[in-house]
Amino acid sequence: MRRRARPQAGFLLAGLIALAWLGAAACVNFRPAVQPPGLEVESLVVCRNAAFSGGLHVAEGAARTFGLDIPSLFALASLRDIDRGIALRFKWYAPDGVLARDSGPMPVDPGEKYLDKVTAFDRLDFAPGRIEPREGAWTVVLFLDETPADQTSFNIKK
Amino acid sequence: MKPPTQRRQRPGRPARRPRPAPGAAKKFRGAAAFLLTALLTASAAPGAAGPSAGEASAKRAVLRVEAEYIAYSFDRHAFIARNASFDLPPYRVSCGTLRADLSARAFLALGGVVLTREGESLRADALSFDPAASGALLLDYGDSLEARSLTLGAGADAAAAAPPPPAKLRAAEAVSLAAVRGSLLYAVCRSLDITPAYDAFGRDVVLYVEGLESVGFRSLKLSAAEAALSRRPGLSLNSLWFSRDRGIRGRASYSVLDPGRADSLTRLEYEEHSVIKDFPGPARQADLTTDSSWTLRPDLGLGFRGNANTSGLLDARLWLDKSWAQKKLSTRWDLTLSRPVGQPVETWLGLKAAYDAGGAGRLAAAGRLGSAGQAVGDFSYAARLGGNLDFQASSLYTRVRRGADGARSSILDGRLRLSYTSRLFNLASDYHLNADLAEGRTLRSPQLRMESGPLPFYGGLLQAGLSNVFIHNTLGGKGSSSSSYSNNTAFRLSAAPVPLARGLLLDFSLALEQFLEKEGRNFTSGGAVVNLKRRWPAGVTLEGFYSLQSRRRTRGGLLEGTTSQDLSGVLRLQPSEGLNAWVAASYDPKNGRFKQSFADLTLAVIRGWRFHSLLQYDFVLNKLSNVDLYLIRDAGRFELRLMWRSLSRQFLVELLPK
Repeated sequence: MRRRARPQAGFLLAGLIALAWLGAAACVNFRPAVQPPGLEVESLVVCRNAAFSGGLHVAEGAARTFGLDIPSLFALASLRDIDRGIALRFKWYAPDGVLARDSGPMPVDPGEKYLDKVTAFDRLDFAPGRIEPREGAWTVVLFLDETPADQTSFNIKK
Repeated sequence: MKPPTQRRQRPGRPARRPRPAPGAAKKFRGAAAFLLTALLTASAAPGAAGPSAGEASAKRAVLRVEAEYIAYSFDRHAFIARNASFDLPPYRVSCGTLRADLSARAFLALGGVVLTREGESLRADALSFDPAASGALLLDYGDSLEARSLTLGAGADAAAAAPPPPAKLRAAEAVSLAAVRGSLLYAVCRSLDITPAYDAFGRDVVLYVEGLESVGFRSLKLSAAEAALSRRPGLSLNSLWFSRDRGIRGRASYSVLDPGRADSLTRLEYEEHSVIKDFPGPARQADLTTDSSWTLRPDLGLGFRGNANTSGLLDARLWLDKSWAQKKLSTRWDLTLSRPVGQPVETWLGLKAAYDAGGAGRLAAAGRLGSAGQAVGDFSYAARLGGNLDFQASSLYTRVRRGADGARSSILDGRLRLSYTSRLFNLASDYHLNADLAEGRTLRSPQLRMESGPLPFYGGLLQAGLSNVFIHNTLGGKGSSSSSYSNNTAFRLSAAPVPLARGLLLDFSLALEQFLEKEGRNFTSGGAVVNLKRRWPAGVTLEGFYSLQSRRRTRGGLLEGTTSQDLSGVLRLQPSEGLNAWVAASYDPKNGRFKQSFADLTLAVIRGWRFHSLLQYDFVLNKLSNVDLYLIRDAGRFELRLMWRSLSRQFLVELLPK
């Protein structure tokens, strides 16, 4: 003889689910979401090359560790919602804290236009006797109007 | 050279920041709200959402962050805040950006960092810290990178306050706005509390599912999904689910985590089967397991492990660890109570001791006494004699209950091993004795093993290896004795890849094996594998394998055996990072027919989603034997998989921690 499912267990399950949904719904509100305050740095990456694609630069060979034989490195920044003129600046620091390269100010002027995305890069060329690719942790800092806005580190190893 | 900056402008847009279209947001709110409440109901601990949770979190927060904009990623358990301010006693801190990886307990304040307290103000470009630690690091990016240590906390010892290690700074740096906004699930708010367990509670939170604005909460434990993915202190409802084959299933756990003092995890699993029609087993089933350890002193520890279920199984073990002389000598007392299903209860009391005598070797001895006259004892000694010689000796005596009539086994097992290791070859001599004292039988088995290291020829173009194993067995008992022996010799030769032309490589390996034994069942085996690989610059590779295996048996001048051949080819395509595909087919040259074929395709779709398919075609049955289709979302610490498998006709949704 086949045993039938107990109907009270089904009611119990339905009740539990309804209670859980009601409990969750009681905490819900419908306020508008907080919006970010204007211009933003979306990302800063160190890569082997900055290629051009779709009107913007894209990182090629992005990594956090590079070999001693690397001839040059790129720092690629991506920014959003540019509605005013700004100045970008990249500073590269060697493992001992010495400033290896300063890009100087790089102005971005949208004029009267609104730019939803901007990419910018700076290149560090290693040259014997000038900028040696020393082993250790290097740091790149992106300045926005002379204020640090993003930073990233990478390692150079044998 | 191209200009260093590139811009993309939306035509006809005014010079202002865009707002999301209200119609589009409303369109997805309903669906996203349904998904979210279901997810949170299933995975959140009790009290995860609601005003009480938020008020409670504020009281015990180690950090309260107020900001113009905070975005928290559920995928990565990390957040980024703009124009933030927070208390880091004894300072009040403000900064342009605060980014934190809560799993790594790493925080980085960046841009215009100002620390103020009564009569004092400090300025820096960056601040690396952990709110639960007393050391922090101030960084300045001027003509050189300068770092200053900072002591936090009212009574903190400046000398003992170590700044965060560089790894923490790297972890916080890796949190970017693009990564947070690219999450499967992220939330935005203006106020966030971090608890001592590094959970995050947000107030007036709006959630985003795959970038689509969805439901908002007055207060929400943002790391609620953490409970489902990893172990959290306190009581957690890990899962509550219904399936048609097992009924209602629930899993809850209670965890205590006090690093260096206590570590306890108790889990309860419950299944209610009565809701399923004609379920063949019991109406319900529960299983309770607990695993706890306490460190009473650095040299004294206590532990308990237990398991009980409604089937009648009971298993409990209590142990006490004690060590002396910087843990060179250690002991463990343990008491075990065990009742397997349908078996009588057994109790065991044991003592285990180990002594590390450094260069003189390591000695270990253990003994256990069980109910009904059972006993187990073992002894082992291992030492390195000089630079290349190793000596190992071990013995084990067991007297345990065998069968239902109360009979007991009595077995003594002993091993001796002396081995020599060098760059050219390894040599090992073993002696194994197994004596069944109750039955009066013994097995003695001396063995000699030799293996040469890979020997290079022709400047490393070829590598050869030879190994040999000789075993002599003597079985004795009740006045009789018999002996047997066997010897197995193996030779391997392999070649490094040889470039035949540009982009064309060939490599091969050969193996030959001869097995001899006293009874005359002798085998000769041989095999060869050839691999040809052709590469083209556009990410296309074609590979071909051919293998030939033969096994022959010689008996009284007769030769019998089998030979098998296999030919297979693989075509790989990887023209870009987003596309990866391969097709493979295997062919049986002996019978002149194809065997089977596989095809695999992985394609990046959008926002971390990728499509993956695996097809298998069977030429013998002449049909597509299986198709697996996956839609996978890489979501930081976990992976969401939607999978369809034709073989079992199943559609599966999986959430896998990485």
